[in-house]
Amino acid sequence: MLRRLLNLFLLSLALTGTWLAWEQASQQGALRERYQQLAEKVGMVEVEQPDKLHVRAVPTGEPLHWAWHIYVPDNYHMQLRSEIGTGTSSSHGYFQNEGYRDLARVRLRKLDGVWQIWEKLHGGSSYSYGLGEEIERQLDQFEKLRVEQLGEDKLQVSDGQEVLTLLRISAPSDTPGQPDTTVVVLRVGTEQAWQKFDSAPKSAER
Amino acid sequence: MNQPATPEPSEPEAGPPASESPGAPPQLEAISGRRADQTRPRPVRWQWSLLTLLLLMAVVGSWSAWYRTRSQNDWYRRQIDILRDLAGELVVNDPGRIAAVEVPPMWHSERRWEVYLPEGHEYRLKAATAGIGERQFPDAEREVSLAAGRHVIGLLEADQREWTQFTVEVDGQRVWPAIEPVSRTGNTSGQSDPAERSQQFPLDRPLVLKRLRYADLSQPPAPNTPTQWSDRGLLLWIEVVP
Repeated sequence: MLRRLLNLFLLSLALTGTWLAWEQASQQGALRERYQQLAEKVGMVEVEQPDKLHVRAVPTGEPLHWAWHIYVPDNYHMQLRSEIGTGTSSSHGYFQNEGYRDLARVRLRKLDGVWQIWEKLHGGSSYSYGLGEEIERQLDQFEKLRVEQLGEDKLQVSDGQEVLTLLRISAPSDTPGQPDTTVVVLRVGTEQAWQKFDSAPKSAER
Repeated sequence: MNQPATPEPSEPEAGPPASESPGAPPQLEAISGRRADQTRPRPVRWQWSLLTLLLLMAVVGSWSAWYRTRSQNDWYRRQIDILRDLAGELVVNDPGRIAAVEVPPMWHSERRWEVYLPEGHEYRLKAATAGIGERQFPDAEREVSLAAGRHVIGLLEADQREWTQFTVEVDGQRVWPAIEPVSRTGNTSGQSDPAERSQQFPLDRPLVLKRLRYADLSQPPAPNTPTQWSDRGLLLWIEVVP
């Protein structure tokens, strides 16, 4: 009798567990699909080291448009700087005590015959209209330029001590041994990283 | 001659049940230890049947499957919340209230908001360039009907030297000729109800998409005094038709 009661109890437990597991499993398909949909839109960054900066490129499907999913840890004062050729440069920064995620974005457009660039990082953006004759001439032949995008192949994790080059568009040199000409370069870093960067001797690589 | 007592398999039928020999003489019990043992109540030893074991395995299997799947679903839900905020997606938890979110910008001076307007009401999208205070709503200079449902409202600014031209779009279609010129006089102050994260708003007050005011420079600014704002700029809002 006791055994029968125990078996009945175990049976009801097993049935309840099966029903609950089935219920969870039936929700999982929709959740996974929704997650993948969003991950395609804004990129997927799994933060395994919450005290480090994480950067992953997000495909935009447009040749002159680049985006990154960035995870910024607590107390990071981030600053984005862009340089166009050797002339124009702009910077903007953002500080937030609490860590956050951001979609950084850079776009180049030629509107009414004039090249324009727009960059956006959390809490700020900058825009330049007309990038100079030499740069615009190079951008007109964009297919000849070399584009390097950070986090394109894999997730980049940084301790915030170094400035990261998010995007570098350069014109390969025609003369062997001569360095490439930088057309556009965008870098991001913490306040400390920028101090270190600014005090370091300038080199062609930078 | 007495045979030594040898252990025999303890089958229940080998001896009489304990209840049948309550009054066995003590000397007989001394002769046969086995019989004496059988007369005492035997401790109940639990025996697991195959069915019980199978059921136990089914319990462990089903509940561990539930736990694992639930943990995975919780992970998906957390990730979806994070990514949805980042993507600036509109979330409608209460279909009886307005929902709005600022769509992540894709270009300079282009702002877009995705709004959800509940069924059962009529709505107007309105714009004004004068009489804009900190909170008040002036008479609209332009207005257009909006049906209930979801819409993307766009505000495109084109900065010229002395003025700004505003173009308003609803679902990708320009709704009015460009609003121009709005004289720009230096600093601007801007605010919007919808933020980067989807929020819901009551129907009984207008939803401000953009309240932009220019600094009042009619008087030369004195040092260390707060900026005086003019009533010029742009106010773009949605309200329910009473």
